[in-house]
Amino acid sequence: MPVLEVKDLHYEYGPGNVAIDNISFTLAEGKFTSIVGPSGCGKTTLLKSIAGLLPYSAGDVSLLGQPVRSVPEGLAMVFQDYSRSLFPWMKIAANVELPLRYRGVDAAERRRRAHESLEAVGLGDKADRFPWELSGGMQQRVAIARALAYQPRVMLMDEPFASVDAQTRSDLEDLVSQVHRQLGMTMLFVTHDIDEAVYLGNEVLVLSKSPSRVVERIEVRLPDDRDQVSTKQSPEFVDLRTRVASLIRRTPAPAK
Amino acid sequence: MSVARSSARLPALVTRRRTLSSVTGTVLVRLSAPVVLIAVWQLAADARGSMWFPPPSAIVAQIYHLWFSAGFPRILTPAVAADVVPSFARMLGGWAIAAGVGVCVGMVIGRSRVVAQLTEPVIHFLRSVPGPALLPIFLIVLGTGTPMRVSLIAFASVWPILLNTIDGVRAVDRTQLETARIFGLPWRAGVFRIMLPAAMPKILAGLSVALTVALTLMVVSELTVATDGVGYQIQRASQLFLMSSVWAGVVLIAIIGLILNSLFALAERRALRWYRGMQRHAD
Repeated sequence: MPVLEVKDLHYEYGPGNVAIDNISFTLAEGKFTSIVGPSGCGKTTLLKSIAGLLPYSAGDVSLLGQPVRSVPEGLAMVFQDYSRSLFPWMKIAANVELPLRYRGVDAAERRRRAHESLEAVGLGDKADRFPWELSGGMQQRVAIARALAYQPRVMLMDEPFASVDAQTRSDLEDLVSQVHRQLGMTMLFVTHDIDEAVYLGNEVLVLSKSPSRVVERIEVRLPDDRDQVSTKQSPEFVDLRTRVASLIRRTPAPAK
Repeated sequence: MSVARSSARLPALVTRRRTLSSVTGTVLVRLSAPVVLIAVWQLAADARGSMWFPPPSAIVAQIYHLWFSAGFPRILTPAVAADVVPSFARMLGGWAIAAGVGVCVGMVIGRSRVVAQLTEPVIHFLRSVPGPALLPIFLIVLGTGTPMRVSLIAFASVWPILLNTIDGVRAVDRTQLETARIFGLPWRAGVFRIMLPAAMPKILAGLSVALTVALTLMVVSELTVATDGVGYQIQRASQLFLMSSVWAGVVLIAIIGLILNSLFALAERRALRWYRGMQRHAD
């Protein structure tokens, strides 16, 4: 059974204002799937529909066999805007622990998990700081740690590295990749960066411009152990990124 | 940038040391204006005695006589329990009721567009009514007792709290609320751990304004058909042309008001340490 199944998903902002035309795909357990598409192609709308934050207009989304009507259990999300997703009145540890409090995790276990996931993102020593005391990259690490501590079956990431600098971005990409290999949860990673989509994914879903459809699903057969320099130089990587880029460029303009 | 952030504690230490050395200077500068004013008043009153403007020394003497002359160990005179305590109890009571009602109702209105559309015209009408103008109506409906005065104080001071809460709750970031939903926070946690803290800077600003309004209405509510209170004491003294007692009442209210405002500002600073810190870091 696929972990996530999206079937004929359709979303309209208002009558005749179609953001998502028809999207169908399934996610297999433990896979890392990147979704890439031109800006404004409804990637965030898609992710929010899957997360149960937006009621979609037509189609079906089911997570672990259960239809998604509201926010499903076992799903975590990392938002693009880390500064607005972390709560500035709570210290780092409290931010990471908060979701666990309402899943019946006792205090000692909450502290242990928060500590563990902060260690995993390299911020074990920042538990006592406030989010705004950290750099942007570190804040996004905290958001990732919070999602990890939640121990989700599926993790959604909505352009999580779009607002950090290039060096931090590479570091965070490797961090996410490593976390995925270690913990093996299913990942759905939305980005507009083709290199990032190919570098991280086991597969890449290419979306068309709005109203969006899945243009193609591309399997990424790169070795699991990837490297920012050598992997991106390899002929396989270059081929894949060229293919994705030409698909995105070729996607027909929406018929309005 | 990361270097500047990691060493953020160092400048803080330096600042603290500098503040310590200049703290006496700051206090002296801040005290200079009131001291000069009082001195001028004292000299003017001494030079040309006026019945309506007794010298500060006489006012201070009267304050001592009225409220602090019971001798050791009691110090406070019976007039404190008879006038000062009931006044400020009513004021804080009315303010507390306004805080409870304003925050709760404000959160509902701030989160529900339908409720907002239904209630806002009424709110904007009612809040335009100056509290003192309603005193006769409150008198007729609620009588002359404490409930009437507390209600009047609560009615007048609820508006800044209510409007600020509506504003604050409305401005809560969407991403914060979506985060709360994604991680399965129950609605109570959403209210108490996300919405309320996020709106707290605005709510506390409203509470601070309301404190001043409550103080005003406390006095106003005691100027007619009262049997106790600082306002009543001022009113009675003025009928007897006891000007130093009138001024003593005025000064006492001002001093207690100042103390309450300072205590509130202190509490606010503690509660919003994260907010000030965040603003400093944004610069």
